Amino acid sequence: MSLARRIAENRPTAVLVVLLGLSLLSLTSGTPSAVIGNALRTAVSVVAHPFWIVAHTMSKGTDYLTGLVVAYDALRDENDFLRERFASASRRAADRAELWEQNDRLRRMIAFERTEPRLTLQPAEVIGRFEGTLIVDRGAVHGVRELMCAMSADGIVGVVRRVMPFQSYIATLHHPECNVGAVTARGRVYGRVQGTGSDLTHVCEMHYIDLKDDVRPGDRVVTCGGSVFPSGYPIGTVTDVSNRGTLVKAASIQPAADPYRIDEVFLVRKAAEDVDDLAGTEETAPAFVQATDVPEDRPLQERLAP
Amino acid sequence: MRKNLFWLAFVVGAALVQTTWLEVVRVEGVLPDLVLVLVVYFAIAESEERAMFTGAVGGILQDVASDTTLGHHVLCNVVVAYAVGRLATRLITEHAAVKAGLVLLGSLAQGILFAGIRYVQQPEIGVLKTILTSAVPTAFYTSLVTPLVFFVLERCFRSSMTVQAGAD
Repeated sequence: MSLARRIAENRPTAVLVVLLGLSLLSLTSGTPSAVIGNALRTAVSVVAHPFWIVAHTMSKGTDYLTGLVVAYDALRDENDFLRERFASASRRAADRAELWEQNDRLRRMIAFERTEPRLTLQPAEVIGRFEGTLIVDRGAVHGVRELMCAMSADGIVGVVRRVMPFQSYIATLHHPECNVGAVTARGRVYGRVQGTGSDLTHVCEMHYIDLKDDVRPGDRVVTCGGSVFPSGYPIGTVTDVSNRGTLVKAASIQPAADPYRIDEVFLVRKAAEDVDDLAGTEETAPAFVQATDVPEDRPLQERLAP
Repeated sequence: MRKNLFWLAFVVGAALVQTTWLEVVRVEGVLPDLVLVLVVYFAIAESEERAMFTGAVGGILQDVASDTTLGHHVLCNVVVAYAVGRLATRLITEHAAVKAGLVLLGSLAQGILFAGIRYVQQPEIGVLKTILTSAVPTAFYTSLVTPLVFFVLERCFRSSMTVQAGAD
């Protein structure tokens, strides 16, 4: 009997032997089953690759053809949408910057108010400005009176010139009607600071400086006592000194607080006197006058005579 | 040829169901072995040769799905297929209880064989515990679903064979 015939007669046993042999071979060699999975995936991938390429190409072509018609409207809508978003974002950014600046200003004003306990301040918002005059939103009903001093955290702004029930007009340092008693911080040179009334230069002038007095550009000018303005607050900085051929000279002052860039001011309702002003200097202090004990011995007719 | 293709598709489908959707009927961690039921069915209804090929194809898919060493399920299924095929020639297998009993025995044998091979590969896993906690419950569960699966198989393959005979 040939081997082939014997195998054919015992085919199930032969199949068993072959399958068992293969299984045992795989088990003893430790072949991971993942190789079959990987092989299947690889085979499927290789076979399917051309179909994927064709499908992708057709999809791209279809998208291109439909895009010629559809994409224009979509792009226009998207463009409109993005424009609106950009405008909205720009507005928000501008508002944010404005709020940031306002917050910074208000912080500085609050800090100024806290560091000036001798001043009773009334905050006011600038609602208009023209020719060196500021209009603020506080008036007589809020307790504002004429000749009140207006100042900011940077320094003196001006003086209240006219008061309406709900608003007031402030003559700033640029206004010719604003007169401030001033003194230079370095040389203690006294003078009067007055607005030029010119909107071109944005500077004011310090008048009545004696020719002998030493005033130089860069000197800091502050308020002096004895006026509606509390003493010692900055007015500005000397930028130029000019001699006009008279007995006095004048100095150009760059205001510390630029009235054209102010949104809020403080109106000084009440200012306690500075200790130095109250004490006075040796020269200005009043001489002690001894009251006399001598009785009045003039006749009544002489004393009451006009 | 047509019957063989149908058989192959059925076995592959059963193995895929075994490794995917059959999870919904898992009870206490035990699943019925659908591939083994197919193996026993073909061993009884046809021959041990077809049963062995059923076991081989289903075993490969089970090995791939469970990421075990290739040949683990195949070997168990093939041995059970051959044994049941031989045994079925000596039994009257028309009764449902006999079929279920053959499935129970086959599943037990397959579980013991599977645990033994695993023990050879990983001696730290106790073989007795595996048999008691996995092989025995699986065998009972598989024998329970046997009537239903045999009914479906007979419906499918009898009609297939009828169509085949008509075509021939």
